[in-house]
Amino acid sequence: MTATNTSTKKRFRAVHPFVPWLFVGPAVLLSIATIVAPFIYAVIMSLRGVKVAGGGLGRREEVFVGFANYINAAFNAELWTGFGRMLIVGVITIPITLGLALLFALLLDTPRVRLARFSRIAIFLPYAVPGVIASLMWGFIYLPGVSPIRELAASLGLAQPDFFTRDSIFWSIANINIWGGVGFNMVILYTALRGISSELYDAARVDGCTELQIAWNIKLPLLLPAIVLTALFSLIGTIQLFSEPTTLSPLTDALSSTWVPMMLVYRDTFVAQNLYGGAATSMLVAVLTIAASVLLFWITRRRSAGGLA
Amino acid sequence: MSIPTGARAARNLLAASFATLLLVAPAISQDKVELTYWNWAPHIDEVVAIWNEQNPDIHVTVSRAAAAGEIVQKLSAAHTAGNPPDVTNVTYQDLPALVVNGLVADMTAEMAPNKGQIAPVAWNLVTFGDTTWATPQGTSPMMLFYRKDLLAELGIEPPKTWEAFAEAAKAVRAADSTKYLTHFASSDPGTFAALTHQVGAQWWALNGDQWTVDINSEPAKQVAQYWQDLVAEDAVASMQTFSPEWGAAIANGTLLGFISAVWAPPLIENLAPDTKGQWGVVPLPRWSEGTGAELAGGVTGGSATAVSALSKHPEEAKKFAIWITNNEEALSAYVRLMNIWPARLEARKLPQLQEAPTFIPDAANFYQMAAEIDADTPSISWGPNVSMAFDVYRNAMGDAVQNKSGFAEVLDAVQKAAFDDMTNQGYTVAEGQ
Repeated sequence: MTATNTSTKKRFRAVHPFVPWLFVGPAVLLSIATIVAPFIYAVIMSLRGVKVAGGGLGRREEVFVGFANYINAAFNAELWTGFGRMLIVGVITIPITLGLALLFALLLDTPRVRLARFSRIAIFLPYAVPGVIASLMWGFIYLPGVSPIRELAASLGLAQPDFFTRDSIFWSIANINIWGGVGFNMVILYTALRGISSELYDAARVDGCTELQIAWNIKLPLLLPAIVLTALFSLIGTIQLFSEPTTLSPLTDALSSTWVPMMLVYRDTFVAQNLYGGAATSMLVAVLTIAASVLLFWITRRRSAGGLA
Repeated sequence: MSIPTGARAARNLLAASFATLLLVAPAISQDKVELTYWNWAPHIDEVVAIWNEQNPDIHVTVSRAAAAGEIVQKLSAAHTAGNPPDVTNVTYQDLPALVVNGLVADMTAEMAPNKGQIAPVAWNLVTFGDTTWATPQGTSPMMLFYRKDLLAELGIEPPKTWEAFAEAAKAVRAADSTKYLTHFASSDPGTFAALTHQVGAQWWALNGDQWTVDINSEPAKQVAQYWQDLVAEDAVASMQTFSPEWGAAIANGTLLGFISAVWAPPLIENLAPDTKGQWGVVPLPRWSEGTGAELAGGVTGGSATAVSALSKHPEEAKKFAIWITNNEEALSAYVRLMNIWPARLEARKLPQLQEAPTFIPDAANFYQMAAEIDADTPSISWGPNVSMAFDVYRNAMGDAVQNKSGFAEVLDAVQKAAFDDMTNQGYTVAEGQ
């Protein structure tokens, strides 16, 4: 006993203190280069602005403007309207995505399910399609003049659905997100389900539980941490909503260039040539994202701790 | 030792050729200048090939790095990164943004000898104050392209006035409810601005150091109201120009007309090659009375060639830029491939400009018509924040088209945004009367 202990201690002591750094080094360097440095650069940019010098067309010169960009961003009605639209998309997308993902995961996890492997891959496959490609594809399915759904409706003598009105556009965008997101979330939940000890199920069956009761009383409570995780991913995904509406916007006037906050950031930075204002807005969005994530974690941790105890 | 195997022979060959390359490469680069040239036009490499053949010392490589609408953001990024192209195509409306960001080189001295040879409308678009920043490519005589066969079938004459245009649009709807005379695009501020130039609107004007922003003038609002009425009555379609929906409608005869400029035939041909010979062309309708009745159209699109402020070979780059917009051979290739109406006055006598465009073989007087329209086109200039103003237009007009109301208020919103932005940037700027 003592002998083993000392030898273990010796083995640990033999490791040079530098070694752990060697392991985490690449990851730390990468995150400094790709996250921390751009973040700092954006903070610096958000405190600057331009003034035109010279007559006529003049020449733009960078100047320090303090928090002016932040004040403009905070009072920009378009930003908050964009947040509102983003919330609507999120309210449609997140419950349906997670609900479907959970349903599929539970179905695939029932004993004697057929074609499990095939179904799992088929449901996951849309996630493998890049967001922009998926948006293009759905864009063509929605677009009047080329839409197969509208054509089908017309040939059946039904009213043609309009996917591009100011109201229906929320569902059109949410549909792309759901289509792409269900598979990914299902895999996370399914993996978590596979990790649950089968002894629990055996015990439940001995006690006379049906499969439905097992799912409700055993699987769901044990899945809660995984569900929280997927909810968090979905929430962050919603705040970063950008590529779907951006890809669809040239097709319709139902989508403005400032439809959601990230599109506003892009518009300000690249179209309106205001990198500084764009940086300030993106800082604001980042702070709100972090706040929302922390809040979600806090609420669910209290809940799940209470529920399990 | 033994006979070299195939792999070894290949390796030796590779090593030898690499060594040769190393020896030769510096020798080439000493007397040969390499220039990169950004342009989005589909056939541009064929024009550049002529230059490369004639100028073995200055080799130009075409890059399609940026589309017309992306030029400001991509060029700024390349400039910040320190490797912008030496020469770039730029739309007239984006040129001021490149100038204020310090991205393009002053070409005043090199362009001075050409001044008398360049159409004043085009010269005005590249010159601010006394400084010339680019060399203009062409101007934009505006025209109405229409499906001759289908309009004849419906018994409708191509309209000569906007009043007749509205009648024709309604007549098309009455005769065949699947068809429209044309579309109104919320995403196309360039064309809309040109339609207001026709009634005398000047969105931006620079007088000395004093800017005037006048986007919501009364005549311009009347043009907006005219289109609102057509959209509200479903007399014109509302789709986005160059979207797949629009392309399909042009190709299958849902849309019978297209308001555009001289360079449209190759664009239509791209979308609907089967309709060759079925299109006709007339000048843009005019207002029969009131302001601007005497004007044939406005300034829409069009581009110039500019030299990067960071080019390592500014002399050669300027030489090439001036060649591609002024040389007779370059321009005749341009006309043949892209149906432009050159800004250079003597090039307007080119033999290619005496013929019909290949896509509209009946229009023998096509370029003669272009010349007449061009003579009645007002001279305008663009401001430093066009892309921002146009974006505000697209968003507000998208709303207005969906609501089928408030077109004139769109111009108020654009005016306010453009004026406030220029004031904030520190320009001396006044609003129009």
